Amino acid sequence: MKVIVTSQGTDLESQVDPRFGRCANFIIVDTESLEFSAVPNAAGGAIGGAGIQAGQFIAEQGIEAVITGNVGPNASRVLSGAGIKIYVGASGTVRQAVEDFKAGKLNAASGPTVGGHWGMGGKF
Amino acid sequence: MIVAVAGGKGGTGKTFVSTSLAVVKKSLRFLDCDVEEPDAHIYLRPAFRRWSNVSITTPLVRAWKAKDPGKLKEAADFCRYNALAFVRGKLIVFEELCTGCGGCFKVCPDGSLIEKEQVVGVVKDGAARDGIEFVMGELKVGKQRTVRVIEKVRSAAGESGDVLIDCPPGSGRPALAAMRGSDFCVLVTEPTPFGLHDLAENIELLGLLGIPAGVVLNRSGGTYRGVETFCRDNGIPVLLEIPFTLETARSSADGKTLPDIDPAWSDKLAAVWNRIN
Ligand code: SF4
Repeated sequence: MKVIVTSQGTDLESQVDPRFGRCANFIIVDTESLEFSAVPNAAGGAIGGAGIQAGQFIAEQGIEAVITGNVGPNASRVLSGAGIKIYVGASGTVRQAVEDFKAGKLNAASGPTVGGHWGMGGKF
Repeated sequence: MIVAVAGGKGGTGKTFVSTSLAVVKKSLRFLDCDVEEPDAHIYLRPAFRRWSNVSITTPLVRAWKAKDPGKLKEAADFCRYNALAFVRGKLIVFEELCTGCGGCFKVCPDGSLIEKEQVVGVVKDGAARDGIEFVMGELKVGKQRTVRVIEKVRSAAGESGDVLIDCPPGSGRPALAAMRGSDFCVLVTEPTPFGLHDLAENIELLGLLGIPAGVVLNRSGGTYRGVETFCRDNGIPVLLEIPFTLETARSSADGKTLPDIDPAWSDKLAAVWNRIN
């Protein structure tokens, strides 16, 4: 199964980025073979609607689930519209997050886990 | 003549000063552009005559009308405010992010997007005390189109006569929209390092806009002299000092202006108007 993990760096040893729309990178991982590729998040600097832009990008990647720390209301709407499952509460390295996911330790979010603008560091 | 009254972050007594200036001048038009937290009406007690909605045009999707679904995706890509998302062949609208720019309607002229009015605020006007024509804007709870509402209030400035504008706090886009086009700006500040920081930002913005400014020091009387020094070094006149007294604080909280508290303030405020002119 292919999933996307939000990450601060570009490999499996990087830390999970707890923000969704404003994360640094997306790591696309095959949960079986652990083959991966990293894509910078083009929405990270969006004026507004970063979660929406990131959500659309993810919807185009042909993956089944997103693993992240938290997800806001807009991104949650886009991802569920695309039929992509969202697993929240991930922390530690990307590799660890994938292991936790496989072990069923992460919660599937049925809605947003934080309010809008959470990933902007409380500035707005 | 259009005079803007602005200040740093909330709580500097900006509206206390603007309404005090208004009741001394009389017969002017007062525009409350602090649309996120309007409170000038508490001091000026207007009787409202008219309410008008401020709205923007937001798209409503009628996907079955789309001749080419690719166009819907193009609209989503076009919207730089990310108010549109295209996922699995469906276009989703995020109303609260839409600025009403109208761009997506141009991308999809086939009737797949229809215009829906989205009310983002209200503008009220009426007559207040001392012959003041009062106009205020109010942003609707949960909406983000602050600047749109401010622009609507500003458009009530009229062509002639004296206008006083109560600006939103800070020096961001809302403040800019409110003070733009005024002939003079009164900056209300407190004599603290925070006050100075906000004042310097406002002075910089006004410099870019080419609007001359003067300072009113509210709650003066402490030992900090940073604001005075800054004003002297930058050639900005200090128009008035309002010393901190418990009585002023209490009366202001009751919606009293300076001349209501002590008629002696009328002459000092009239002198401020003279210097502005
Ligand atoms: S009107 Fe402008 S801001 Fe609103 S959805 Fe269309 S393109 Fe985006």
